Amino acid sequence: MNTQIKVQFRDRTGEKANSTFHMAGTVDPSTLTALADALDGISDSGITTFDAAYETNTVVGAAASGPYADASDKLVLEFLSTTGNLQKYEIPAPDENDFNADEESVDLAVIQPFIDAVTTYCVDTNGNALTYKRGYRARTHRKS
Amino acid sequence: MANSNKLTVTLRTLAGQAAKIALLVAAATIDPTGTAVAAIRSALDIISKAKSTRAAIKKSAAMAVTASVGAYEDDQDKVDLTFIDTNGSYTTFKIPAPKSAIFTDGVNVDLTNSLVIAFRDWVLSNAKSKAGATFTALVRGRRIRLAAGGRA
Repeated sequence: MNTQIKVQFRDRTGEKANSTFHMAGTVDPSTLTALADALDGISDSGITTFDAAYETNTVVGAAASGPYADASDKLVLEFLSTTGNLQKYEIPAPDENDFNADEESVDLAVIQPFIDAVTTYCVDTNGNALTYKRGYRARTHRKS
Repeated sequence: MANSNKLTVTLRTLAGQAAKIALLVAAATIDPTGTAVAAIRSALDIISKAKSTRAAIKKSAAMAVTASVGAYEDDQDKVDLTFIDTNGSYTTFKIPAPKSAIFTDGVNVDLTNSLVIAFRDWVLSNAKSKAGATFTALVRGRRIRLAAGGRA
């Protein structure tokens, strides 16, 4: 696991520039004051932000066929935060078992593991916890 | 300090189509191989026919380093600092608005300058190449200027 750090610079006129560094492990960008000091020593530019990116390319699951196994077919799941912010997740290629016999409404028993994962680990932009609101099937085919 | 980090999970269908889902996770969650991301990816696998091929987290930290006046203060002025790594490969860091004090003649970098040494030492101790190799030396520094739109 590596961390990519993109340093965002702005000079006195507000013009942008950036430089990229790679570091081993998962590095919290807020701890990189030594890098900020080292860059400040050789540059007249201001530094506004350190953007860290962490990535893994391990594969989870296997793609399968199905009646809705197209990326434009979506299972839409909506969650509300404790302050009322809506978080909407569009899951591509939904499993047909996610839906009730009407093929539109969701079978809560099937999607419960995802609801549990979201309510346990996901938040809104302010860090507030989420609760499940509703789910439905949607299709977003582009016009050809 | 942000209150959340953005997790992006890439899914691919059997036909090879790609789709991405963005979720916000707690600010302390930065490891895409950790428990939280693994649970989310496993849950996605249950409800989608697509497989999850990648997970990426982005986290930002504000830095309050202000710009200063200098001969090369424009961000289109750069200093190229080239390092060699243990694989014998070269990586060049482009740093904007270089301080004039780090050059011997306005073009070539003084590799013995204390400010340059401080940056060099941070890179040698902390940075890696894209391939994950450790850098072993700063071999050259040179000022360049990107022409388009720069101030004279």
